Amino acid sequence: MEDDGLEMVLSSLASSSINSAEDGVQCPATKETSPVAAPSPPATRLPEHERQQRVEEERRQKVLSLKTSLVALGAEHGVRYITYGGEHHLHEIMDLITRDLSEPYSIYTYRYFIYQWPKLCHLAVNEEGKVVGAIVCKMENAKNSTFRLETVKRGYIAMLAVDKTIRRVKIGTALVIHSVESLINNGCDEVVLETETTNEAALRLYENLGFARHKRLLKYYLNGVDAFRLKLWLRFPAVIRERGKMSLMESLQLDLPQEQPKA
Amino acid sequence: MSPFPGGFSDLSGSSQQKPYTGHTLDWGRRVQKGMRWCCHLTLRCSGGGDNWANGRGFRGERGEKALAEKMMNGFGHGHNMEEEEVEEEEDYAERRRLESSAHHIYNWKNVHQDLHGWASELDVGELITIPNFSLYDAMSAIELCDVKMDIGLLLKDRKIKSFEEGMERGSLKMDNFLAVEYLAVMERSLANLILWIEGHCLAQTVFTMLYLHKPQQVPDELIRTYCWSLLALCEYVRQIMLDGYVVEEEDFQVTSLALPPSSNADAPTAAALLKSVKSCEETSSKQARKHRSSFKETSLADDDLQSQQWNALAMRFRFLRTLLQFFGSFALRSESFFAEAPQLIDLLEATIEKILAGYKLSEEQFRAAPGFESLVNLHLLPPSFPRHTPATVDGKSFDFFRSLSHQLRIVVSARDRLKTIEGFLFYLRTDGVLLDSALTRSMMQIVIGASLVLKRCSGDAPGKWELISTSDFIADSLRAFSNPPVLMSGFAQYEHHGQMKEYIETFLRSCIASTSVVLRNYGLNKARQRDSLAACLVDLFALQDDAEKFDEYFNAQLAELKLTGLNHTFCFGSWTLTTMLNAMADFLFCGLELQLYANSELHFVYWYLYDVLLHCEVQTISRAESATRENELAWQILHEVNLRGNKKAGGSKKKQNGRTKGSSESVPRPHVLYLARAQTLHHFCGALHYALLALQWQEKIKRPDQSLDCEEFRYYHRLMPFQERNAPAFVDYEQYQQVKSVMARNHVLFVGSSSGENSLDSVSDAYLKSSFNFQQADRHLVLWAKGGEKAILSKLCKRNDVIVRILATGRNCKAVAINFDLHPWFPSLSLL
Repeated sequence: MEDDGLEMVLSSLASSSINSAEDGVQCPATKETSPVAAPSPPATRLPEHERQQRVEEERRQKVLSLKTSLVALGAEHGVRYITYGGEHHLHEIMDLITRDLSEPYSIYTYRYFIYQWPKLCHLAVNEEGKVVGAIVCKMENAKNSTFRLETVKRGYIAMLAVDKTIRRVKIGTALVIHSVESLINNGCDEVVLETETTNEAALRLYENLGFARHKRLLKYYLNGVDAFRLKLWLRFPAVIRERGKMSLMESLQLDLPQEQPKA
Repeated sequence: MSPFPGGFSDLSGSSQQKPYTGHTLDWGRRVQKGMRWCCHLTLRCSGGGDNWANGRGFRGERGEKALAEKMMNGFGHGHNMEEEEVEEEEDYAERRRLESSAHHIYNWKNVHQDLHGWASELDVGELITIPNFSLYDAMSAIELCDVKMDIGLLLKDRKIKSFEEGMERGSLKMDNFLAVEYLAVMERSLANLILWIEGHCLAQTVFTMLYLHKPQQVPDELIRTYCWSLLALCEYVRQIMLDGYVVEEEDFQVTSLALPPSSNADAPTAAALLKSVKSCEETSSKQARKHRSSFKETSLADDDLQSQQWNALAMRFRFLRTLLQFFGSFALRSESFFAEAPQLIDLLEATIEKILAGYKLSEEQFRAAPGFESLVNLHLLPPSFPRHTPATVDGKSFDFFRSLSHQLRIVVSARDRLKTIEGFLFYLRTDGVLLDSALTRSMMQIVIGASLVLKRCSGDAPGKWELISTSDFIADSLRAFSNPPVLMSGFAQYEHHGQMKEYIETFLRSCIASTSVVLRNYGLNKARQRDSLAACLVDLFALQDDAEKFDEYFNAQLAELKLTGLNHTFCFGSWTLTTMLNAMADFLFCGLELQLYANSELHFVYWYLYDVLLHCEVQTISRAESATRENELAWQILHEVNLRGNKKAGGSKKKQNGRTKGSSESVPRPHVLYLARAQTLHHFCGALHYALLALQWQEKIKRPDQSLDCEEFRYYHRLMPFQERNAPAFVDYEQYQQVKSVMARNHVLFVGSSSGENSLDSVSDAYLKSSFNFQQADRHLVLWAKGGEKAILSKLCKRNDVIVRILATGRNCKAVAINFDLHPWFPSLSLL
């Protein structure tokens, strides 16, 4: 995770550039020229790197506040959200998921996910402690589909199932939010999942949360139905982040000579 | 130290769990020979004290009973406990032999008690693996007896197990077929053929007809001939799919999984087959005539019906014969193919129309077709293979063939369009969009490949000619598009100046590479095409950079040679830029076609197309057109100057001059078409951009309810393939927002006043701009579009124009629906 290390260094440096900006030193941002005539940027613009961080932070705050409200909604109806707690949950999860999904999964599939990423398995339990909703995820490093050389840290939602008898509690949405939060905390760049193009309920749930249809996978399922690969982008693409870092470096180079006399 | 190498540092709630892979115990002591498949069952979990023999259903006592039964009965995938070397990827031929031999003996042994004992020694989450029994084997073994995953459970439902068995037991009809039975066999197997062409497995579709397994043993002549014809058709199709080299696993399954062994040594030759199909056609017609004449005498309804049925059969044989003739000729790649094909397609279409108008089978008759068993090949498929049997649909087959014959016509006429790359791509983008089958897409690729190869073969030095002839094709394209001075016919005399010749060849070579990728993209299915477009953009960007450098170099050389008036600026560049912009626009259009963009994203997609890509493309084509004209003129002037200064050599040069002039006059400029299409798309995108912007202001487009959405992320990720590009520069999200805010500001501050070309005074002004663009699109449409596409686009323009003008009047409506029901790229708007 060399990249992350570099980013940490850069974010600590970023604070100094913010201070200097407040002292009245304007950091020029590198921008490519565009054929579209654009007005000159306002004088108080944030440095690109910092602006990007702020956008990402805003997203994180949105996730947190949404999670809080959904947890509160669940509590009103006696539904709690927990992470996977051990073997006793496994059977309940399997029963719940087997009821819903068209694809056959064997115990190995469940164990593959839950044993390796237990903290990414979130459950909704009712007042009696019975599992009424489950989401199973994993994360891995993957190659970027456009720029093959880049790797992205990808969160993957493998299964989501909710007891259909419990309504209006938004358990599905809450479980996805819990997963997204834990994937953000683990430094993921994106969250991915596949769903049938005909599964309107699932598409509605995810798309309302901001998931985009990234790809269409033709005849993806055993029943011959196409799938959409849905993606929630959690960060800027690496190319854009790189640009932000470049602008930061440039602003630092401009700052340094001014700071030297002070030292 | 974490016990979870890929996971987290602690495991909440259960300290007993261990990773289930890689924990190997001393197994040899306990494993008896042939007990390998049991060891997956030693995975033991601690759920309420149950022993989990299997993930689903085999819990505790019940599970063990089922397990013991499984061992005793031994059905399933054929995991034979007495055979040591039964692997998951075992030899299918051997398995086929085992399956087909009716009396194989299993010597089963009950290991229930042993297994139970061994399992109790294992801890929760432990799994024993030995080299001959991997995790993969364990995963397959656990699927035994699972209705969703075990083929074996379905096999007992087979009514006929094989051709031989059906013949011996008399359950397979062999003779005395009625006309309606012939029709049903044909109809059902053609429906299966279509399913196969559409990507299903051969063993589960075409080869569910048992007669095909041993055609040589079928006594009935009509069925036998039909079987050989169908097999020949399958072979043609398979070969086309292989040669076209554009089908992916989701399009077509080229490798036929474990085909039943039909001895093709007995198969008739193509000519003999055509002859016997012809004789079958005559036999059927004779029968039809016989019943017709007896109907005239007796007026029995049955005779009339029989006559219709035999007639329908004769038509089907004619259809088959024509199709075989077409594909046979195509397979030979004979020169006469392109001359014969149109007539064959005419005949095919006429026959299909007659079939569609003729006798129709009822659903019962269709289902009662003799000789079909949908599960007959199931045991030949690997366990992991999709095992649902696709439903065959009655009555739709000839609709498919009607569409196919229309597509075949497009494929056949493609050859004449292979004059310049632009012209051909224009054809692919307009008529070619109708090629929606993997078969015709592959055929188109073959026509492209073979045509260029044919050109090569006409040369004297085969093998060395490909590059030159394909580069001639590219050079012709460049000449027709932007007429670069260095490629002009009279320029050869200067070519040896400096490194010009080498540079020209280098550039043409890189153009060939990118052109072949671009052409191949049109053969791929839409989803793959989009991926491939994103991937090839990097190369196109590099080519564009090279082209600009070459243009600069050649300009300097022209100045050195004192060839005043000739200008190389953007000559190569505009050609590569058009190719690149087209690929970029196609990437976004493919996304629209695959329904990837949410309503809230449509605005920036259309805006990017309108303001950046298509805007640039329209300019580039216009520039190329004027460059062509100017360079031609300059060249003529140069010649005239030369002539005046060099009167002695005038005779020959005059001729040349005359020829150049003549040729430039006789060939109409193709730019008109390209420009008209680009302008239509440009105006369409512009219209939608303005309309969607106004709708966004009025909040009439439904947005996500509780969104974690971040438009900026979407913008960058959606347009990611364009980010490495300088010309046209990638437009940042910030600039996109500024463009929007400029419009919005004007809309808020200057209601009712006009302030410049690009600003909007009000929402209604945006709608009026949209309306103007729809009208412009409609006007440009007539210059290039044809047939169905023209009608649909024109309808869209008119319909949307009305809607935006209603919206411009400020009429109140709750929301506007966006539907891609008429065209995959452009939605129709409707008031809610």
